[in-house]
Amino acid sequence: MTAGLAHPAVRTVEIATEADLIRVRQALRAASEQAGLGLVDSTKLITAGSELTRNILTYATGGRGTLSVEQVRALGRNGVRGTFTDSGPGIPDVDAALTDGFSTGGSLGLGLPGSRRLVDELTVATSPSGTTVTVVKWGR
Amino acid sequence: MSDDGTRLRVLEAVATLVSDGIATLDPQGVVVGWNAAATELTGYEADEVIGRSVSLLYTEEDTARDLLATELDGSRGSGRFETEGVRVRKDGSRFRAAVVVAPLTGADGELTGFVKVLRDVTSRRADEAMFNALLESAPDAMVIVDPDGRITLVNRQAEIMFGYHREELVGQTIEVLVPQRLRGRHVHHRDGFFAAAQVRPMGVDLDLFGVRKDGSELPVEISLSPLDTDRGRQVCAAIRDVTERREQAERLRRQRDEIMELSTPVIQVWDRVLALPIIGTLDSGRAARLTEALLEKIGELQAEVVILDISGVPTVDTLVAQHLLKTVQAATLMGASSILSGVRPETAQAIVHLGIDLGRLRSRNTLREALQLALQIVRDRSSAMSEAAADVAGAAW
Amino acid sequence: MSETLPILKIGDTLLVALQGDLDDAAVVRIEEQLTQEVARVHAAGVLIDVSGLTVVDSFIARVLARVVAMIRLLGAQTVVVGISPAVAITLVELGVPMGHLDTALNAEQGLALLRRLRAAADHGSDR
Ligand SMILES: Nc1ncnc2c1ncn2[C@@H]1O[C@H](COP(=O)(O)OP(=O)(O)OP(=O)(O)O)[C@@H](O)[C@H]1O
Ligand SMILES: [Mg+2]
Repeated sequence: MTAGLAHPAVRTVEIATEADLIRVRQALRAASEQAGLGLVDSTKLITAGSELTRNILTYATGGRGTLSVEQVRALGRNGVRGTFTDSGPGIPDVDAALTDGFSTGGSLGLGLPGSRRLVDELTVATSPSGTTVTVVKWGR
Repeated sequence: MSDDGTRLRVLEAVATLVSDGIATLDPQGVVVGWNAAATELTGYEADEVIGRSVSLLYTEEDTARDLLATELDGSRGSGRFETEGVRVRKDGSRFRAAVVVAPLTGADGELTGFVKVLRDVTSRRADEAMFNALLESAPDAMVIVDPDGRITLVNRQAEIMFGYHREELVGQTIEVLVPQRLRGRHVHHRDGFFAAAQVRPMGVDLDLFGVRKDGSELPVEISLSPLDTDRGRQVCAAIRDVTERREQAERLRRQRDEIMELSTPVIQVWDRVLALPIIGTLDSGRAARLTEALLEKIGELQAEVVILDISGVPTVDTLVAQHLLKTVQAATLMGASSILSGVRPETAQAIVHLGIDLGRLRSRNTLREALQLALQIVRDRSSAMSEAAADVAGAAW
Repeated sequence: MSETLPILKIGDTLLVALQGDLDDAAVVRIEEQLTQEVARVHAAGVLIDVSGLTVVDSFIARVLARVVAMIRLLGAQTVVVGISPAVAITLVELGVPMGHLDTALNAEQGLALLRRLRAAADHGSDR
């Protein structure tokens, strides 16, 4: 098989307090370095991770969730995939939430749409029992 | 006015004419009529079966799970019950039968019995065997899917490509072979294909991916064709692993990009003044790389002014204007001023009509004028800088 | 956690360097310390060096913008220096509005810009 396998090592970070923001950034930075992402790309990924973590702290029930980070490989490129999961109330209107300026928290509403611009792939799977946002950043 | 007896006799008359085995049953499943084709099919003469339960054709397993009740109740429920399974002849040999059971009702709608039609499909199985052989010899992975999206058949290549045994795949929806992130969209497209089926490649110009059992992904190319079978319309997907082809295309693309980049260098035109002559169209990827290269140079050379010359850009549409705007904003955040040069009248019109706010961006018609402005800015700043240095020195004393 | 932020004073200008991976509490603490210090010493200008920050997400960016606004209300000007290429691109893509931030490449240019800003502000108040 020529196509690479997903990197087996998956690192998880529990998200429960603001201090975990730093752990999230560290985990994403470590994975970015491993995958050989450049400084700009890793900064974008880490920043997106920061935004998504903040959303969990703000909107998920009890402000709790999990990040799992893994290295991915396809088409001869290395990348990093971060999966942010929470079992909060979910996002009723994902399209709206992905639009600049939409916020139910009286904020700028930049986190989700901004994160989408910062990574190569962003998908949201959400239901009333929780939300999973997956981001992938590819190296070049 | 026709009584129930007449109806049954009409039915029996029809039964003698057809080549399918037909049995008429009473409400309990006891045989009351048996045509010649049924004898030919099963080896039982009419007088051997009339008065006995039709379940004498069943295998032991089917008898044990009370298939008779299933068939009769099923047909009564929906007016028709169809099944396919193995039946046993008088001599003990087995055959594969397609079975249809329908209830018979009297004039007042009460149940008077059933009619059961049996067809030997063992020979059709032979066609299927040939089809399977064909499937197995195909060079591509082949997956056949029913309208609900369930996999009904796969070949050996599919097993190898995706790392599953066929028993694990048959009965699953086709989406097990599609990466999680693309599944929702896939279900949607799949319904669309069944609605308007024709032979076609899937997702023309799309980057398609499959996912193996171990979770790894592979780029694929898929060709779809509808397959009308007696179990309804199915779709046959021929799947090809294009990892190598995509990698090659990717390499070519990167080489092309590198050549493009070389043709658009960031030039230091003066101390702390950079120029970026943009030539050709700007797509997102190229714009991102140009911006990065420019910002790196700003940091490296501590450049204070950047001239973005767009005289070589054929058309400035919303997208190009937005890329330019982002570059200018990022340069501003770093502390460098930007000057746009080479704006043609039609470009100026486009930018204004598009309602794009280029903010505090200064613009000059020609590169020469832009350079003059840049030097002016640098001069002003350096005099302010020496004054500031004097302040700090004074304060430090 | 009560580590204090090292704030350097040169003349009537405060210099502060933000460093490392800051959590939200640290960012908010910096905001408070800095505004209090500006008021306490009657600073005329503040130079914030962010070259030591690896990530500036929308929260940190918003606090920065807030600090600048508060400092302006206290009668002083702020210049942010040392935004790296990666951070600059990221902030622009993220879409945080930073238009009102005055920035410079390094401390030297930052001090020069502060001087120009103060001249402009003084000039403005004359009229
Ligand atoms: N994990 C989540 N669970 C539930 N709702 C969420 C979650 N993440 C985002 N949302 C919803 O989506 C909206 C948009 O999120 P986004 O991050 O874009 O903006 P924001 O958090 O409101 O503002 P900002 O990120 O700019 O501070 C939120 O206001 C919230 O309603
Ligand atoms: Mg948010």
